[in-house]
Amino acid sequence: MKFLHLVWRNALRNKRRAVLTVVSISVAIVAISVLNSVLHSFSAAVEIADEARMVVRNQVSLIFPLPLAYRQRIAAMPGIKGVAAANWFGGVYRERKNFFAKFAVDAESYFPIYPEFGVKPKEFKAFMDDRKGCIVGRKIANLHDFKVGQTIPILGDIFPGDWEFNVRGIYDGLKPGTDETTMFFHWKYLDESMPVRRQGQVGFYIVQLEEPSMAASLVKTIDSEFENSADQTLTETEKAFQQGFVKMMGNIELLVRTIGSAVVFTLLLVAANTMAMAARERTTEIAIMKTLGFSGLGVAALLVAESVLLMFAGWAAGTAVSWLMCRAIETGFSAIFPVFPLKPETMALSFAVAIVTGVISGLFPAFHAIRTTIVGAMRQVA
Amino acid sequence: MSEAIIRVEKIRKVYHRDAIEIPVLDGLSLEVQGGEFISLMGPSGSGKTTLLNLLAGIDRPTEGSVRVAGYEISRLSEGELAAWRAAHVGFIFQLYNLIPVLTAFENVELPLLLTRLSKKERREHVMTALEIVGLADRVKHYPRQLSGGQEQRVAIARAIVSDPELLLADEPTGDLDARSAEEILTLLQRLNREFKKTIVMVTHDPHAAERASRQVHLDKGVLTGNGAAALKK
Repeated sequence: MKFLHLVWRNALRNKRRAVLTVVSISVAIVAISVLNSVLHSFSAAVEIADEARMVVRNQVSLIFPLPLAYRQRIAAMPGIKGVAAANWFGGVYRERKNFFAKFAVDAESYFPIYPEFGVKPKEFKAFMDDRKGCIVGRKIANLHDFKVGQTIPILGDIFPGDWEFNVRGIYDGLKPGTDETTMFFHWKYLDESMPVRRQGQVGFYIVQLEEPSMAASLVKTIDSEFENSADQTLTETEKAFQQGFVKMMGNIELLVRTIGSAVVFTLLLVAANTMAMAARERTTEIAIMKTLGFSGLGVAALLVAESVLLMFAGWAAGTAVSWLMCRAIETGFSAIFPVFPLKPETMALSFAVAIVTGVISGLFPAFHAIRTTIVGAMRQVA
Repeated sequence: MSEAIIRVEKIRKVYHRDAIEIPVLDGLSLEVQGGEFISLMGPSGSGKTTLLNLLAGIDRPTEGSVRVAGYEISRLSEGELAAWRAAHVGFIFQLYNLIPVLTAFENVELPLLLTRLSKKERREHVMTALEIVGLADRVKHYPRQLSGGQEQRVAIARAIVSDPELLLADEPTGDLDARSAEEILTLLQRLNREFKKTIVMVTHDPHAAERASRQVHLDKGVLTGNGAAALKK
């Protein structure tokens, strides 16, 4: 600890260079943190997926529906606790930039399967009593200033037309990471509004299991039940279903990791350059310290500590900015990123990157310090 | 009679520049008793600074033995030499060589960071050293805020703060005006007489050399005049 003051003074010796280095490092840390948060945002739905929930969809593709009649047949299977029909609705509120997710759901069955969507009983009852009623997530309500009782217009695309819904309730996520940016309305309202040929069609079924351990056997049971039907099913756990969604966006993880690696490499160059300059300018002082009795390793350790200190300062500043950015993204782009967390593991990762980079970039000047001979350094001055 | 604190025997120092051998010290022997204040004089290239560097353990002889403060320092490893310097030697440079980002107090404290002294003890030692050199009121001043003479006094405080028995000074007045030089020489004399420090001072200045209790002359890597005579004695 007694050397910290010395390390601090040396790190701030050239204030402009120190500040620019810290800013460069913090920009890199922001890039690493935000990119990682993008990954976490995409995988948030996967992480909170319930082990006891499965999704049954058309085997051909998610865009092909399943008959409503499947519901009773699935519900009758042993080990099934509940079944709810749901349709992805699409559509936009007033204009395209106001997009948020909307699902037509079989509310009576759907909400008991998703207890993490917390709705006040009074509001839920009002929703159930209103055919055109809807429940919206807290974030979307805040973003668009939706109030209970308000009628909101939605412009349909998959289901064309001008739709109107009455906000009857606002739900809050009762579990960390719960998406609060979705709107739910009655599947019956959607079905009844469709032409006869499109009625009785369900986008997918959400199935609740009595026991998560039954998932594997029930996947087989459900899919084999409809094997010889016109609409064959593909059943998977909610987690696998959400992972499929993430994969549809391409190999984002590879992209993020590639950019992250480039950022780390640049970070290393910046820090190494700063430390190399710092050590070169201080050759005489290194010699003086050795004359005073500091060992080569001791001086080297001080230089590495200085490099680590700069990286730590950059990490702290970068993490603070990242936190603010994540909050801003979560607020401003909630439709795309319902949750945009700066997770402790992301902070730990960027911290490790900063410290390891600090040590590596301090090694060259440290090596220089060890090799510097007092007589040689003094002769350079003379 | 006090013990010899420095005993140099038949040392040779040869530098190599490309394939050329440049002998700097040639079979030099010297003995300095504890409490002596000697000045090393001689023309440029005579080997004064090289000898001082060998005594400080910051350079190694090509041949011969260098025994200082009871240690055969030519045989110590780099790490052992560093620890030995910290305990036994205070070095005063011509250009002061203070660390510019540290205050006078912090510069003087630097050698004590290598000891196990507590913060309070370090503070007491530093203040004592600064009081001896007359700069107790300049603790918070940075080197750039001090005159050349004051900087050199801080450097002397740094050299004596760990209470070494031997002070090595390489042209300590070479970069100072006459008045400051006089103050520094008086201070060195006081450290020698009052605090019993053994001092070896390299200087070009005959006036400065007169302050020493013994003058040693070097020429072409060997002792001449008084120095050689003292050795024969």
